[in-house]
Amino acid sequence: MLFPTFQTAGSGLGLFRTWMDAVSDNMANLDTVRPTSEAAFQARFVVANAIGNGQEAMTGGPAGAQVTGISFGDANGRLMHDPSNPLADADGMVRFPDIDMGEQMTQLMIAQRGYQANLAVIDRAKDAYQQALSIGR
Amino acid sequence: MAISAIAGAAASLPTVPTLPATGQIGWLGDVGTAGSAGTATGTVAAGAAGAVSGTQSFGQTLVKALDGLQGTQTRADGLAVQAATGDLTNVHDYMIAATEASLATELTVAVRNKAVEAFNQIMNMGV
Amino acid sequence: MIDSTASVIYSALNGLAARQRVIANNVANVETPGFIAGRVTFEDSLRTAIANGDDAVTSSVSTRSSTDPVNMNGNNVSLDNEVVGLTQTDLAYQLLIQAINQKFGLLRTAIGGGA
Repeated sequence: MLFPTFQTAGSGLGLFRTWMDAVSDNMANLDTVRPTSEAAFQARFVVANAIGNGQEAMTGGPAGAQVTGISFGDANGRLMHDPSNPLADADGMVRFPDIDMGEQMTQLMIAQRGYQANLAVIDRAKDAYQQALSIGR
Repeated sequence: MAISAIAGAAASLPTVPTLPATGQIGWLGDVGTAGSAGTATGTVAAGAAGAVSGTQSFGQTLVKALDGLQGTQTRADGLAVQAATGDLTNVHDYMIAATEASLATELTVAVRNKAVEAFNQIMNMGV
Repeated sequence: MIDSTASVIYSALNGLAARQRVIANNVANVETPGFIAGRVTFEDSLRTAIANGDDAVTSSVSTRSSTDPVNMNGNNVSLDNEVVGLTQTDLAYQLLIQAINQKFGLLRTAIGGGA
């Protein structure tokens, strides 16, 4: 692979962007109410795995991280008493999603940090490769 | 480490690579063919500034470059093909090989030119 | 390689390039659960080869797992260390590129200059 570092860092960018998308999906649905007859809105979690093993990374083979799936949070959600809600059942209960805003914000900051770190890798690697291209000039 | 080693090499910049002062003038047929540049340099007489001793690493460098011309060009070509098909992992590999090949070529040409010049000088001397 | 110094520089360039790739892998996996950071070593092998008077091509570049402590996810990548390592690696790489260029410059001067 020519310039393998770009592929590796690019895979990291993809992973963290997917994570940020999942978090924003969760935060957008913080107040999505469902009736007790249905499952609550489930939080989205990104399942990440490394690509290849560390040995291959050294020789320029496949490396980086990838999303291998999305897992979903608790389907039961939180039961709240809200009789005025049109979706409330006979007891006046509705399902709220089991999503904590504070935790989602923390995840967003972690994902952002990871994204920026991979951007820095790309930038630095580009400098090194450009320098290599000037050998013999 | 690397920096002091380079300073050492610069300090040992020599005169001319191994051109023994033998006085032979029978090598005319070899001039002009890059592949036999090694032979041509071995028998040039006039203009030879004396042999460089074997321990001079820079002098050895130039001779090795002459001998290995074909090899460097093949290696550079092979790496270029790898770069083109996207199989090259270390870009500095190709850049170094390409520079080596071009320098070896320049060296061969320069040595040949000097040899021809020296021969002409001899031929122009009166009897 | 041209001479023994150039051979050493070349081996170091290979080692640094490998290190940069492993650091990139570590950074991409900074949040992957259970991921253990990789570390590339080549300096010791290179030093040994030089001390023994061997050609630098006999030295090796190898990778091992980092022994840093893991966090709750089982991941032990420290982003700060990786970024510092990446900066060092890339600058060292650029320095050695200058060094090899300088070696070639000497050759070129010898070829082209003088009568």
